[in-house]
Amino acid sequence: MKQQIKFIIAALVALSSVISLPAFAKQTVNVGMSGNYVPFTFSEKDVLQGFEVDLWKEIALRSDYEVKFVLSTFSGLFGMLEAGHIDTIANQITITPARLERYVFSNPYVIDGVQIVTKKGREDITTVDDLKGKKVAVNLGSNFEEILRSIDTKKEINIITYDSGFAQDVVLGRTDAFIMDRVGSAALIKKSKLPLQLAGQPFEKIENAMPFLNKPKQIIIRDKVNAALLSMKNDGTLAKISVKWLGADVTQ
Amino acid sequence: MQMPLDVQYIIELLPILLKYLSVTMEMAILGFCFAIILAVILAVVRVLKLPLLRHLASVFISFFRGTPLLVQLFLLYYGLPQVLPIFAGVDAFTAAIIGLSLHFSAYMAESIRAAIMGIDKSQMEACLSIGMTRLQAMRRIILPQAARVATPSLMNYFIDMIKSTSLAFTLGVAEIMAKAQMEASSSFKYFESFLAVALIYWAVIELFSRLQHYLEIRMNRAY
Amino acid sequence: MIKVQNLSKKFADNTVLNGINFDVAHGEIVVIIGPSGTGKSTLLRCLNFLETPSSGVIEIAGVRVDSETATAAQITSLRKKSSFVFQNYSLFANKTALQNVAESLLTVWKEPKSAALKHAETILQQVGLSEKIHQYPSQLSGGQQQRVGIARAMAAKGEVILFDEPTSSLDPEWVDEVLAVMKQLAVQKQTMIIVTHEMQFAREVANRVIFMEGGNIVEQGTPQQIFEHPQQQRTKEFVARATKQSLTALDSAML
Repeated sequence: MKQQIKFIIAALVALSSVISLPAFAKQTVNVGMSGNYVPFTFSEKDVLQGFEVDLWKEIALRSDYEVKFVLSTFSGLFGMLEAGHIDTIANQITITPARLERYVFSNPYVIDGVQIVTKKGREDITTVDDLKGKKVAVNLGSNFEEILRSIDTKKEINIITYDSGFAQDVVLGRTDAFIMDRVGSAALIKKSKLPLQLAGQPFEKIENAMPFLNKPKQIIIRDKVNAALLSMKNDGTLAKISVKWLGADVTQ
Repeated sequence: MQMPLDVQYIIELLPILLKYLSVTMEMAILGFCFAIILAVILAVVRVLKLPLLRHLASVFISFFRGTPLLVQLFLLYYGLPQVLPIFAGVDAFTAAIIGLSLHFSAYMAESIRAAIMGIDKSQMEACLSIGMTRLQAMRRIILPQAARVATPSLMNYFIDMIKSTSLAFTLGVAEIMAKAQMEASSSFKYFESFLAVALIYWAVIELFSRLQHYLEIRMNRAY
Repeated sequence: MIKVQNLSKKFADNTVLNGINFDVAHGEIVVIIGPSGTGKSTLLRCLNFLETPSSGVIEIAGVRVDSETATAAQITSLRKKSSFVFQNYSLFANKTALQNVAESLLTVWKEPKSAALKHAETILQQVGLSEKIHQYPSQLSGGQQQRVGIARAMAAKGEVILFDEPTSSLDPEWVDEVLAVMKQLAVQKQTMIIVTHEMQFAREVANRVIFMEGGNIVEQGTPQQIFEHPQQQRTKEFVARATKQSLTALDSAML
């Protein structure tokens, strides 16, 4: 009797390993994003879409990966990266010296600038200096918060952090302006039709890329991503995705 | 600039949100089941004053009642994998259920303990007099009677738990609150989106309140 | 069969039992009388460790427990050797009469369900409650509840049944039916230790009467000895008062 049971168990184990074989064919890469960043990653009528989404679908295709999008509030994304719940973040993460100390980045795929956005019709704010004494909104944990704080050495700007809804508050007058990247800001104004305007020229260039943990397994994924990005750049796919979502090619 | 209420948008959004209601309810129901089991253990351990265990139970209850649920969820999901790498495999949905269970079990344990202590001492004495152990007495006589007393309070915690699942969106769980937030972010109709999700919570909880009322009537019919 | 050695019980500074010693033989019916608050109930409750003695050794049917070294397992063993009838019946509120009686057989003695329920039904028949077996305690009168309590004690496979003022909480109309059941048990030579104020019952049924006061056994003997020829002064006083009371009650009942 015991012999028979052993045999049955062995057979089941063998069977299950054969059945699950197809799953081993493709590696799954977990990509974190906020789903909250028009037009890079957002959800409309329950469909996740955007620049980053299209980008990664293409990367996955070229690298033979199975991509799984994991959503979280922006401020939670780095926590998830650290904890190992995701392999990388595709949410317009800017390369900063501080982040470089901790993570390894893919090659930058969006070149952008830091932009001030105010309520339409407002003429008193066009440069960073004009922000002194004003209330300025930034996304919690973003590099924009960092940038603003590093510029505001005398702490003359009232910086308010948000997880979402910062554009709305500028319209409502709860804050005077918000800081974000130029490309995202332009897209947001266009899509939302909110009475906002780009105030002045962008200050500070930013390069956005994907962060990975500095571990051998993760670096392998990073390298494959870079290879895919390069091939997408060379055959014009990268530019195409950029124009589709952002109205212009901001990838060089 | 005043924005008029877009009722059409709410009507279109409701079915999308309702699709994810099952996630919310799954978290609440599973969370509640585990919470009850844990709560009974904690309560019995404390009432019977089991050595060592009773102190562990006290510390557990103190911590989970004394820190915000949000903090507990973050510790579980973001913090724990750093010290115990096996936890990296735990997904947000599971982490949320674990967090909800641990958090509410602390409160529920106190309700159950109060209910047990409210049962007349003579019931336990009668059990002991025929040779039952205290654990047997708990299982056969005391807990069934305490369950009646504790039911209103436990149902209240269940309702609380349904609402608390909304915090799971901070872990990235795709439940109704997360969906509402994301749709709001892309459509900029914040008021409409959150009103829609509020209506759903309200309807579900009203349903369970009625159920609770019915349960209480049934349980109040004396033995 | 029962040996009590040097049993003492203190509550804070109050010594309720003062080094009690006594024995009970198999089949013996012992009635304990005495003024209220004198430790009679406490003595009974120490016999099955519902109260933990401050010192002393209890032995029932071969199970010997020293209060200073008593373990939980020992206490549970000791409790299985006796069963208890409470002044306030203490029936399991969430169980029917039948389930109450069967509970010990099911949970403690692990008997199969159908056998246990059958046995319980038989016992309830003996105490005259066949029609009430599926009623809950809340649906029964005081007298009926106490008869269920006695049935539960009868079913519990104890060598001795301990009665703690079984009729003191009953309306007068129910007292007789309960005493009748106890008299039945006496006829069957069930070992019993009964704490009661029912002097008439004690006279009729007891093999031995123990008079306690102030935490001590003052005097013990046959009912005849105690009620008709008490030796100690205190015994004389108590018996005189107690009998006068029951005579008065008898008088009023006859009017």
